Amino acid sequence: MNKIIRIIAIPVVVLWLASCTVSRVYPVRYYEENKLKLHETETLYGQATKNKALAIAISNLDFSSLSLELKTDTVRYIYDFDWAEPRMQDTLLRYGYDTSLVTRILENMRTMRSTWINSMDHYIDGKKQNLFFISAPVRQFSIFPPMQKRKYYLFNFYRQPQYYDAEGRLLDKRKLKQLRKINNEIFYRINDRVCYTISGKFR
Amino acid sequence: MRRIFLFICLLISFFAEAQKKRVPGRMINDPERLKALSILDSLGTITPSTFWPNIKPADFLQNLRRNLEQPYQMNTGRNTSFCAFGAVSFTCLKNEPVRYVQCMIDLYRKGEGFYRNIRLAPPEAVRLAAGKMIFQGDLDICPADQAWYLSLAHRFKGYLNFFNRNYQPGDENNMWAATNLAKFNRMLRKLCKYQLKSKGSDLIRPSVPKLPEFLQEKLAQGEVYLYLNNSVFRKKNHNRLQKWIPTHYVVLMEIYPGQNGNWVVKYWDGGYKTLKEVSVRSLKQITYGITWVSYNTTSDE
Repeated sequence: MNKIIRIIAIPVVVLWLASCTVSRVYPVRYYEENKLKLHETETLYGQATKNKALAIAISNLDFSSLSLELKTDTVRYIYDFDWAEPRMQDTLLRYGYDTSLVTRILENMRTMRSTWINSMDHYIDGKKQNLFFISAPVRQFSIFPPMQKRKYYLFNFYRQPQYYDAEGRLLDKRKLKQLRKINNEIFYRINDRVCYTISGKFR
Repeated sequence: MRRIFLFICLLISFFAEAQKKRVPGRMINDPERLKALSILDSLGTITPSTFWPNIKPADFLQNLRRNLEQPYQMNTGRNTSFCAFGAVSFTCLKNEPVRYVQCMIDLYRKGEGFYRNIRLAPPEAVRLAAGKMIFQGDLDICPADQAWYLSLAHRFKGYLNFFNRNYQPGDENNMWAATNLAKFNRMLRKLCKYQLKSKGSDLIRPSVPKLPEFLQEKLAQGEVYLYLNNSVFRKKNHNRLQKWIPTHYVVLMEIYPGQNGNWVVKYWDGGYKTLKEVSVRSLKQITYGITWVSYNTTSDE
């Protein structure tokens, strides 16, 4: 009986442990596969948010619903919509967004299976900088899906080349020996301007 | 002997009653705000503080001025656990800007400051961290806010901080600064001397049959703070099993009926006023704590 339990338990534990880790090869592969779309989305997003900030969250992984965060100077409006709901276009128009640009961003997000797009303000030497932030869920295998803890690839697109150490970890410009953590995560180099991490949260 | 006992009881109740009398104002306290700005003007420049080596005096004063001029834009950072301190600061800045400014100036100059009788005197590890935060949005360029939040987080402790009481760099994002409902209420009572009321707890949601109407009623009478499960309100992952615990404090600004039986909730959320339409069911699901303080008690402090 003990032997049977061991035969069952060992592969289950190995599978469980394997399902908790994500290789660092996959985000690089994801970036290479979706490189054109990612950079196109970055450009489109830059144009769409030139005057007003916007963040898009995909609420369900079947892409049936989404959430828009429309930001003015003092108020952040959060609206939930079904995918391609006409009401969404009306709302975007009302707040002065270019609906065709936002629609193209949404289509790209669906193609890349991205779940979150945002821009992030940060300050280097007191100067305001802005980076483009996009995340996508990792394709994971789970023995018991209801208990599954999702993981996401988070990509940062900087306007300027960044500093990295020998292991490819993003460094703080102000103190080059110090790692730069964003949302408490260490980011790794893809190229001079783009870096990634793997996280349990998509934003 | 009996008379002395009665006299002591009367004395205690008299002082207790005197302490209960502070109430918030309906609008931003503009006369005090102007007075606080004139205090800043009269200061001109201040010398760099040895207690806060990473905060330049000019940045510090500029931050205080910004808070006074735009009190609703005081930022709690992108990923910190400062939301509860932000909600408390909201009412401090709105109602007592002079007290806030005086406390902050003392804190910078002497390394300790008093907000009423609450002493804020953070240790060196905390003081060294202020002014160095990065990737927290506008909080990056607000060193005075960093100092204020860190000092409050050091001063007020609850059971959530039991295993992490001493500050290490990066602790602003974790349990060191976490706040349970009782600690939040205690902060409001001690800093602002409010006679507040509260429903709910850290794990069990309050049983309020008509929650939106209840919040509307309390909001008409005073300030209302909500303790929410933000992982449901603003999803951060797609796990089927979500944590059913509250994680976020907000100041309720408005609540009114929306479309299809939903309610529109507008709340102050650390730098932003956020507006979202929610169903009554969702609102009940996310609300774990309601704290309110009335405008109506007479104030003579």
